[in-house]
Amino acid sequence: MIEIQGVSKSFEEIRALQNIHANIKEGEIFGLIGSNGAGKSTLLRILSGILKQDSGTVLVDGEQVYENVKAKENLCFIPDTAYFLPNATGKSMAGQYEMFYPGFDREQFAKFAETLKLDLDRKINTFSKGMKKQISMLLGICANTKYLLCDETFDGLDPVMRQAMKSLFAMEIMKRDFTPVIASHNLRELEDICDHVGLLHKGGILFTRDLEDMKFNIHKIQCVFENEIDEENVLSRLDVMQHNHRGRLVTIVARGTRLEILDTVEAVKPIFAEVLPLTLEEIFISETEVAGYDIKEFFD
Amino acid sequence: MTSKNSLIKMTGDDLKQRMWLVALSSLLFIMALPGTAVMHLENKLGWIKEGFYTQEALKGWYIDYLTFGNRWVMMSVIALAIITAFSGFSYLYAAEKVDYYHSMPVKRSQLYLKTYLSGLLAFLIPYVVCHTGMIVIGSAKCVGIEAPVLLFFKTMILPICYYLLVYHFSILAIVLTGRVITGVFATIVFLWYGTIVSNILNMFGTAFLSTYTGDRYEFAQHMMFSPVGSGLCLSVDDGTFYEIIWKHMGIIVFAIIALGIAAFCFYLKRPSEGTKKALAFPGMSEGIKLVLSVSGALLLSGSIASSSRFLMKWCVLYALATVFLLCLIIEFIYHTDMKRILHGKLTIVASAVLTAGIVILYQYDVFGYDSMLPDEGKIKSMSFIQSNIYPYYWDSEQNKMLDMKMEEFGAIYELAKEGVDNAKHNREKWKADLEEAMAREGKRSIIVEYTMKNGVKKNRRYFVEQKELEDCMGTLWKNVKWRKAFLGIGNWGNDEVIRWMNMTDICTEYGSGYMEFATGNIDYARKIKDAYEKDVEKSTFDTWKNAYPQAELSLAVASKSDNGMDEFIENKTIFIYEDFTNTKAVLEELGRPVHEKIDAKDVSQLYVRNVKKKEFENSKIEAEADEQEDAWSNITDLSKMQKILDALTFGSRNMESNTEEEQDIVEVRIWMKDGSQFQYDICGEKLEELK
Repeated sequence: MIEIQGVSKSFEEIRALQNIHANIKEGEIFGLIGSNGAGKSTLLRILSGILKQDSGTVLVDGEQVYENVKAKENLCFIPDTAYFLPNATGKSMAGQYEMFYPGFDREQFAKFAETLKLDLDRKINTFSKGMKKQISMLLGICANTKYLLCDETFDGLDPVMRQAMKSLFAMEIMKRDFTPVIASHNLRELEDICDHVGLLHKGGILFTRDLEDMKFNIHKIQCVFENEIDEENVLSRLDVMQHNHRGRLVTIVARGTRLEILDTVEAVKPIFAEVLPLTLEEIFISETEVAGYDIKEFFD
Repeated sequence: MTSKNSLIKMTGDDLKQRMWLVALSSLLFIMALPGTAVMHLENKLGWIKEGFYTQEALKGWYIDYLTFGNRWVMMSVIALAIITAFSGFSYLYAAEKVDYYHSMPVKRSQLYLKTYLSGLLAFLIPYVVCHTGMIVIGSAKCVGIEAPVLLFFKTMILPICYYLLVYHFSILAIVLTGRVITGVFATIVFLWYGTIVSNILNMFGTAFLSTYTGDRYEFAQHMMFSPVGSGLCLSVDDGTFYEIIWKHMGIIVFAIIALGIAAFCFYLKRPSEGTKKALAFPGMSEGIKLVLSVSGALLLSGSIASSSRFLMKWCVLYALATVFLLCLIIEFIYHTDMKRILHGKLTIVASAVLTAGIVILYQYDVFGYDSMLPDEGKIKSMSFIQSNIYPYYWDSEQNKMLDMKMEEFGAIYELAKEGVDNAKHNREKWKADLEEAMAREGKRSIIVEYTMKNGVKKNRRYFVEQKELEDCMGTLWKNVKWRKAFLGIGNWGNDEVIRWMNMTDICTEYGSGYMEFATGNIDYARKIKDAYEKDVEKSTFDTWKNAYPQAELSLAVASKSDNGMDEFIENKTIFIYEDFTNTKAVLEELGRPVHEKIDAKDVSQLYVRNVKKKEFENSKIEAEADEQEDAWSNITDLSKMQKILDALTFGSRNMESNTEEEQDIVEVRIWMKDGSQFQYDICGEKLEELK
């Protein structure tokens, strides 16, 4: 497990992270969501031992990370802009990773590369941005570390490749003890892959939630009531996160299971009532507004 | 995998990636060592066959070529040290590279060591191979090296030490900075800072301290304080500088170790976020700003102050303005943001106070540099030099007078006392003005060297009365050793041989008195030397003081070089006086008699003209004189002609003549019957006698 306790980090006058607390459990895919400059990359760079936090502790399986080879052997970091050695080929980069990561699986690397149709003898500097991204992800996955820290990993990949990469992640999770942490500013990228998400804003984590829990416990219902008394009655009985009117049509986002919410609304016999699916983005909008933030500040 | 194994593997991998560096290093050393050595050796072996060169000389040259006599080796070493450091550690300037290396499960100490060692090997392997090649070539070509293994190691020490010194300086500069431009600037500053400080001290001493003898410092001495400077000096050295460096090897080794440790520790502590910032350690920014701005301001204001007496008065203001501007520039480099250039106001104030303080310390001689007269009891010996005792101009030969240390230094001490008094009274004068004023008062400039009992040497330049100087010299003259040194033969060794001479006198054109000493007349070389030594031993100060030299002997004196094999030629100039009868007798035997006078019968034409010179070497007055060509008078009367010729001396001045005085001169042009021409000046007492 990765334990982040009260981590703060400043770059001169700029406070990048402020008293971050979070736990990333083994075997789940953790999504780190936040706008540009929210502190996602800084947090990942602290987790991978590149940066040293000003205060707080970061423990990977109970070990401090910074300058600790034992802890770092369990971590592999895939940055937003990956670095490849001058004139390196896929093969030579695999050799590099093999030197640093004892568990690096060359065969698997070659197999994955063949599947993705990547020529390992070709110089990487002749690759497209997306191909470079694929190579760096394959290197990270084949390093066979317990934790894989990915910064904006799916950015730059076409939808097919994105899906292929997600499948690779899923396969690895099935196969071994594997915990990817994926940072992104794009909620839709993480929606169908993450088990757990953390929302980072202005250097602080607003919340961390299980995605299934969130989807199961937050719902949107559209309804038309006979009169205002019925409407007020329903609103007072529900844990409302957000509601708005469009003519007589009332849209309510509330906490609770689908059944609980529907029962409460139907108890006042509305003219019309229907539960609508909520996207991860809508859930976040509702959660952040509850937390008192203006949604426009968050996402690109 | 053990960490030791992984370090070896990582180092090998790094070296593989920097194979271009090994190739560059090999190319440079092949060219600098065996490549050129083979060509030179072939030439020299050819000369030996033809009899122009000796086996011993070849051996001496070969050893020199392995050490300091090969400029390309030292230049290659310095260039490679900087290139290697940057190629290995400049990844610290790129965020993606830092992320890559620092996220790997490797300790930073191992990352440092693999880069450091591969850089060292990229230099060391080609160098050692080429150096070994040199020893093998030397042995194969029968140079005659004794103990080649010892020579192999001894001659490698200095280049390796210089490589490490520059390599460590460069790594430290890279580790402390976060951008390529500041890294390059820091490397330049590190590698030259010693020379910069040495120059600042010299300029301030020259500008503000009347007794400062900075002009004695040569360019090379400033360069010695910088690793690159001293390395470059070594590469064009005749061996002297090499000896100095060799003596200070302990300091060099200490600097290598200290810098190596500092670079390693800073690397371990370097925050990854230091990348892309001017300085990797922001905490150092104010200290660095202070050091750089103060040094820069002192360097600029010092150069201004030492160039003009008017600017010297404004030195403090100029220094303050410079330090302020430099602080702004440095702050701009830190943040590249005009809005933040006034950041760190406290440092600006501290820099200004420090700069002004240093200028004021010099301007008012707060530490009493000029008034310093050591306690007699603390002095071990004293020596002095007068820079303009005709005809013994202060040249490298005369500079050796400072090595003539007198344990009985009472006379020099008295002279120094007078010099200190004069210095106290003339503190406010700018150097050039002071020289002018002292010359008007008939005072002479001398440099005194105090060697203290604790081994420290102190040099001071004083102005003293001509009479006091003569008294002092009269006392010192009694010491034959001192006298020989003064007359330029103090360091004549028994193994020294005169290879050739050129004698010039009142009616011998320069060059016509040239004579080589070889088969047939070689014994005369020794005879001249012995005779001149005898003449010097019997000469008296009074005779010498009032006399005019009758002839000048330029000698090429050969001696063995320090390695005892090569021949080292030194040019000496000695002067022959009226009572130097032994030398004159030997020269006469050789068919080169010294002409004391010109006989009017040998003269075909003689012209004279009067020139009034306000200053002896004032070009404006010379120009005016040249325009008056019609002022020349042709003297045809034989008795008048002889009178004029009798007033001529080979040298137009003796010790008593003051070159700075306003004086009238009669210029004389002579056409001899044998076709030779001469031009002389008659001035001073000789002119009075003639009138």
